[in-house]
Amino acid sequence: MNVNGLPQGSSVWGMVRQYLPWVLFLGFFALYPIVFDSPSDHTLGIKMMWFAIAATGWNMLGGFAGQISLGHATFFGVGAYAVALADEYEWNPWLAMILGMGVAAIIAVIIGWPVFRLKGHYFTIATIGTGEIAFLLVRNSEFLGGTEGFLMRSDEGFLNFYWGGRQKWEFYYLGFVLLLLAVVSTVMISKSRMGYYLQAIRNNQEAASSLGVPIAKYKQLAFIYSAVFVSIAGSYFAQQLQFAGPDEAFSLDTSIRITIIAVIGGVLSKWGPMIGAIVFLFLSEWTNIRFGGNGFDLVIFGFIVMVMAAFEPNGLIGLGNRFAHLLEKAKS
Amino acid sequence: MLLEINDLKVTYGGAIALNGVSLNIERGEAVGLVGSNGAGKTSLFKAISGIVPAEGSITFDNKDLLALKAHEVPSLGLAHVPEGRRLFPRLSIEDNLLLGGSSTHVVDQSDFDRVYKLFPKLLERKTQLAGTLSGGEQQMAAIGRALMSRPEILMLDEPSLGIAPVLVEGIYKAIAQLRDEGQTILLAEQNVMECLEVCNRTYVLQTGQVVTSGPSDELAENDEIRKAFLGI
Amino acid sequence: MSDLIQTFVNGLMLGSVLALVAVGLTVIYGVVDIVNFAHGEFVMAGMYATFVASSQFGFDPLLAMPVSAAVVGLIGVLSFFTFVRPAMRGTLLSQIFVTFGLMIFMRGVAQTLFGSNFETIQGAWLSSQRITIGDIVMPGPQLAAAVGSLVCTGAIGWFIYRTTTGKALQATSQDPDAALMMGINPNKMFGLAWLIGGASTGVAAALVANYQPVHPNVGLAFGLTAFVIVALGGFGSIGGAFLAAFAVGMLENFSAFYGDSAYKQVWIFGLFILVMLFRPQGLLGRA
Repeated sequence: MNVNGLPQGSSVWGMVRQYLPWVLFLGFFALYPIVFDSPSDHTLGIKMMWFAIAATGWNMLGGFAGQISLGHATFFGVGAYAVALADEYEWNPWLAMILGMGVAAIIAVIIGWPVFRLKGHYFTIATIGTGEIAFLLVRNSEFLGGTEGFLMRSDEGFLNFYWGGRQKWEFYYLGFVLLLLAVVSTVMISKSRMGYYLQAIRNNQEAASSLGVPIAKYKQLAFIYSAVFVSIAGSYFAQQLQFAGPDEAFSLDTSIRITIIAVIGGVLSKWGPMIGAIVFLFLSEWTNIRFGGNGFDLVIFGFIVMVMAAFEPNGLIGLGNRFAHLLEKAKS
Repeated sequence: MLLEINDLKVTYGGAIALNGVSLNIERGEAVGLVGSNGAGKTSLFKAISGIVPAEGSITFDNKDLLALKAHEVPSLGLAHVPEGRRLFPRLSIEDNLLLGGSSTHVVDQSDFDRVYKLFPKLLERKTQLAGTLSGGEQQMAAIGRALMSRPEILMLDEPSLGIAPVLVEGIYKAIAQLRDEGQTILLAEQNVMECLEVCNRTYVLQTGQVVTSGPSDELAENDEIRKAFLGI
Repeated sequence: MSDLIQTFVNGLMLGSVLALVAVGLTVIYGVVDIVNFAHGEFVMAGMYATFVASSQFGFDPLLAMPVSAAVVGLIGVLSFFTFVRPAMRGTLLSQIFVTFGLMIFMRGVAQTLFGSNFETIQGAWLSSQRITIGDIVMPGPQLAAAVGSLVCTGAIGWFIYRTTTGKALQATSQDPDAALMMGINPNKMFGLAWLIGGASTGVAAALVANYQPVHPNVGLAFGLTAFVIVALGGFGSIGGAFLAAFAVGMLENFSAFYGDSAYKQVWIFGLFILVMLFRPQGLLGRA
């Protein structure tokens, strides 16, 4: 039936439901530096961007394909070190970031070959292993700055991927563009054949395999995609901090942080990592101010992750959906 | 009445497995349950054991079974020999037997002796891991394990499934012997002949419902029932 | 030559402690079918329990063993009944995330309560004791840890393989539904597995706290090594974990002896990934 001249099968309500999240998210992220306009707010906003980009990247593998990696710090580190090395040897940071994406993709293929032979828990443990190997190799490599890492001295300007002014909205909006790139490509993939294959792999790998889904290939593709976007987040992070060090970029803590963000938001939805980034940032800042930076944020995050795992595996998005269902039920 | 089942319904998701089954067993009776694959025999057994949720009523010795948790059922005196035997493959025969009785009472040597007397082969194999036994021996062990709990009623789900015909005979001999000793038995089978032979009464199950029931010899002699329901 | 023997002895002593930590992890996995990603944090919690018992109440770490065992055992049981049990009904994602959350939670609690500093137990009885045979030196705390771990691992093995309750645990691990039909209460068995896994890790933690400082991230290395050991030995296999623990103890000491000790974990994870490639079910695991 044709309602209000809209295409078959849709309605105003359907349109609203489909596009409202886009409006809300894009609106929130676009307006954030205007509404919150102090330099410290902008710094927070930039943090939120790299959280969101990294978690969106992670989620292609962890959420959509259901392969929980605790080793993505490796790719974050690759991105961060790519621009740090560029600074050291005076290359262009943009080219370095793109090079870093390529290196991340290659490392994903190399790591993927052994770890995708494992499933479930084994896979997760193996990714902790590869992450720790990379961490230790970098930490002990003189060429890569050892335990100290690299302090950077980027010149200002778009071409140098750096703005040093007190107002950092330019850097924020750059992150916004990168995030949009991540979200739009995630949406395109999730609507493509690859999206359906990944979903099949997540739901039941054996069944997917027996239906002829080339699971090894698609898991590998998801891994490459997620590695590339996490490395972009790493480059963005290092350019902003003007620093890349092993503990900040390559450590298990970084992998854990990326994972928490996606899990809190909800790993089954493209919006989950973004919600997660907002909530993660808010909660960690709030606990830092309220309780001092003594680990109380971890208490809260750990608790939330446990509760989510036990009662709502799709995180805050899942909670929201439940709430919406209840509302609809109450209406009818 | 030892076991009384009224209007029992079991559904899996949307699929109906049992649709209003009523059945009862007196103490000392051997009751058969025949029907093809998917008729609902295993669902009925699982409902009695509390492994799948069910609607309706099951009373055992005047106690409401549906109100109990699955692990509380054996101590009332129901022992379930599941389809496919389900021994603990990496425990010895002796340990499998031990666990059959250990949660209902303190197991003593007489429990083992009773089982080994019924199935002397198990005594020879008692230290062997259950997973290494042949199908027939595993079935003996599974029945033995159930007997270890000194059950009021022994429920056997397709004891002849996947077992060489020579060995089936031995197992049915043991079942008949238990019946003659006064053990109450509920036996589910696709193998109609064996079932009718060993059971006093038999229920015929089709697509989740009891389609007919009666003394086994009457069912076996009634040509219409044989043709329509028993396929013999 | 005596260097080699010394390294070998060090490997044995380390392997023994690692075996106890890994056996706790493998018991939980074998029975409950959940990988405890917080296992390293269980060690950390036990070490803090020992530290508090020692610094506040004057217990020697050896005497604090039961305290540590009780604390970590309780943490295990509580985590099971609050969050792990509901997560078991969920998907694989839930099952991984729940102990992942526990790991973060426990680290946070440790940082909040104790700060991020390294804490060392002072004045332990064995701290200045040592046994010397020829050129081979065995420091008292390390030796006590090795012997204590062996005894405790043996006790767990005895319990699981020799007692009726232990056999019921094995039965639940091999076929939970069949165990249910035998009247074995699965939740009791799952809780027991967490109790054993927690308490044994608590014992190991007290023994380790005798010679190693504690800080909120101390669990990381233990947890990772325990995962590797358990995966090498075959998940759920106690004998496999026991052997793999000694292999890893040796590897750790010999790689540090012949090369740069900074890379010792690289070797361990390298070995892990190699074994996973060619024998994914572990060295002694069943396919």
